[in-house]
Amino acid sequence: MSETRNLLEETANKVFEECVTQDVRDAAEEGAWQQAAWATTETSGLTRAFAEEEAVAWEDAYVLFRAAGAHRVPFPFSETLIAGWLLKSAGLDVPEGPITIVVANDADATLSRVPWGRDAAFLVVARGQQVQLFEKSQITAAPGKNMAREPRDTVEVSGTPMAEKGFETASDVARHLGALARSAQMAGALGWMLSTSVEYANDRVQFGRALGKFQAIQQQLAVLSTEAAAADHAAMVAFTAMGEILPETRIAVAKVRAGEAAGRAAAIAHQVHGAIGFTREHALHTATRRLWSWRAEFGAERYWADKLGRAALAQGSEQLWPTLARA
Amino acid sequence: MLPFRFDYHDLPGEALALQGEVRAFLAETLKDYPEVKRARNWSRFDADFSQKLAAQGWIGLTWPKQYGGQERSALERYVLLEELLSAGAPVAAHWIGDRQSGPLLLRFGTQEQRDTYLPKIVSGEAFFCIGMSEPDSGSDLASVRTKAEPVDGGYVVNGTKLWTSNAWQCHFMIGLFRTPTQEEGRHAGLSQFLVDLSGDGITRRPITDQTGGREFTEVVFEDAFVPATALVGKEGDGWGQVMSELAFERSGPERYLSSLRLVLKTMDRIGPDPTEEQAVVIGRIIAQLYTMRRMSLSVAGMLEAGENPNLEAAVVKDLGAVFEQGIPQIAHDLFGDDVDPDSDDDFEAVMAYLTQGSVSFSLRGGTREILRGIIARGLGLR
Repeated sequence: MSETRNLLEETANKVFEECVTQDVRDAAEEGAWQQAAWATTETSGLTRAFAEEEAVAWEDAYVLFRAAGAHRVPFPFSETLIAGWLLKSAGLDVPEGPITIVVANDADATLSRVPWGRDAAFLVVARGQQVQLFEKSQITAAPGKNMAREPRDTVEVSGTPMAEKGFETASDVARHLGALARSAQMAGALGWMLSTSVEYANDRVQFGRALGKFQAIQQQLAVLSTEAAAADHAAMVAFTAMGEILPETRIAVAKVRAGEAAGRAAAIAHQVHGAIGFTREHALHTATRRLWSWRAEFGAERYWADKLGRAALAQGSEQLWPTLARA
Repeated sequence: MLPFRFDYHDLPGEALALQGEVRAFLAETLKDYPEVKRARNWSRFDADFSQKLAAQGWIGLTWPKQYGGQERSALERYVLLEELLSAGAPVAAHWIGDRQSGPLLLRFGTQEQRDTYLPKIVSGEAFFCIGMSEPDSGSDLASVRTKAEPVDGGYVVNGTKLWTSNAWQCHFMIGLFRTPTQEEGRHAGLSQFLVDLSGDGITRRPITDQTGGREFTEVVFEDAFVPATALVGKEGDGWGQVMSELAFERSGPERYLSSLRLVLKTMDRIGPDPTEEQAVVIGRIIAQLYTMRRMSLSVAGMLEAGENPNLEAAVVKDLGAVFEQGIPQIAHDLFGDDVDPDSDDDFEAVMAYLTQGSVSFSLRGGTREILRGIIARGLGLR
């Protein structure tokens, strides 16, 4: 790990620990915008990682997305980062404040499932071959949400974009950025879920022994940990190759692998936690419901696996290994 | 957060150069090599093939030059193994010597043992096996009973080793035997010996497995004399020595590539114009395969850096076995043929072999339950 990465991770964990409490997550679920938590995070400088002249390298920025997932941050932190990167790559300035992002086709009049569409100060629309920037006053949002009750709104924009730039394959790039971000967030949520489950298993006593002493539980948690490790490494590998040319295979792999891990790991975490983990009183759901939602966003496993599978089958089996070995 | 470390590692330039050389060599050498034999890959014992590899200098690649090695990096060796396995090369004859016995001798062997055996492993003249399991000792390795009793000039060995891969075709065994000890505890009084399997008092019997393969061997020792010079490392240190080999044994590409031939044959059957369902199934396999490869490469990079990724190796092996064992099920779900193991159709023959063979993938090299126990301990449970 590079020193920059360690420092970023430390900072992100410190900031999120301070401002993203369970009360903040609960209030966000009720639909209230968490201005104080956002402001603390913005003041730390983390939201501008890609926005300034001296941008953070993707391989280091990995830990920011992962930390946001681990802390289950209830505002558009990842969205602000990737929207900033896309704006900057298109040669546009990155405004201050929470930015959200959506992938759209040329003809789309309404934009669906826009993260925090009602709350964001700015909206980046990656529409076909264009990157467009709108501000809050141009946005009309009909509220919607994902399973974790994170805002996923249906948005209409009015007027001309405050900034716009032609950008080849903008919508495709944005979909990859979103998938990349969600993969890292899932890796973070999986890591948190593992720690929480291990802690619970060591504390909870049944039949006179901690749950963690039972082999049946140990074996399950071991599986959870291998799934979390695979998702984490797949995402890290994708971030490490990020640049102007997108590592499309690695991103697709990361999203598929994290999505599969999310399903298996969430089931185990709930099994280990028993009834308490099924309640709103325990925090487990803050990870599992996000995992179930994030695995579907910016292309579910099915979407990315289809791409991977088609490309490989078109090339033929003889090319599979050589292709994977250099991807 | 995760108790594991999987650092990012890429292949250095020299490893990529070697990759090209190995591919060219295999394309030529295995030109007419049948698919069903490729599917057996690192289970398949072929002394001729191992000698051809030796002639390339590709056995003991990382070892010191004084023993015939090339002093190349762990990542170059990793690439060599990957290419051999992905091509389905029959590597079993030299596999154990190259992966485990040689490194063991380099670490714990006497100068005489290194001078005698390492050059022979490198030249493909000495094939090794590892004698650990016994009729009453499988996962519970510390319960082994085969005894080595000190006598004038050496030891007399009595007992039985079982499931030892290819022992009936190998020249030497690194055996784990009980030696006398005053110490308490199940791990005390175990020692490793380098045994010449052609010696008196040693009877070897191959055991046919359900695929028809003959890897398993029963090796019976009846008052078999081994000289004092056969002791590897220190008497009584066997347990610790064995444990130190495990990262080498568990993290390699053999732990996720064993079903690759069936993936390839399944792709051939689907063809270039898949249905959505077929494309998704292959895409999911690719996501797993690519991730396993990166994790395995990460462990190789950590070994190269002199670290001890034992826990990470257990993670790779467990994930790898789950993945490999899932492939026959996927192929069955796609096509559902009743397959003939002796069919001329490559898909059928490979499918039949791997359906039967893959159940062993979570047994060999540490059972799934043992590995998950190790991981659980790493997590701070138990």
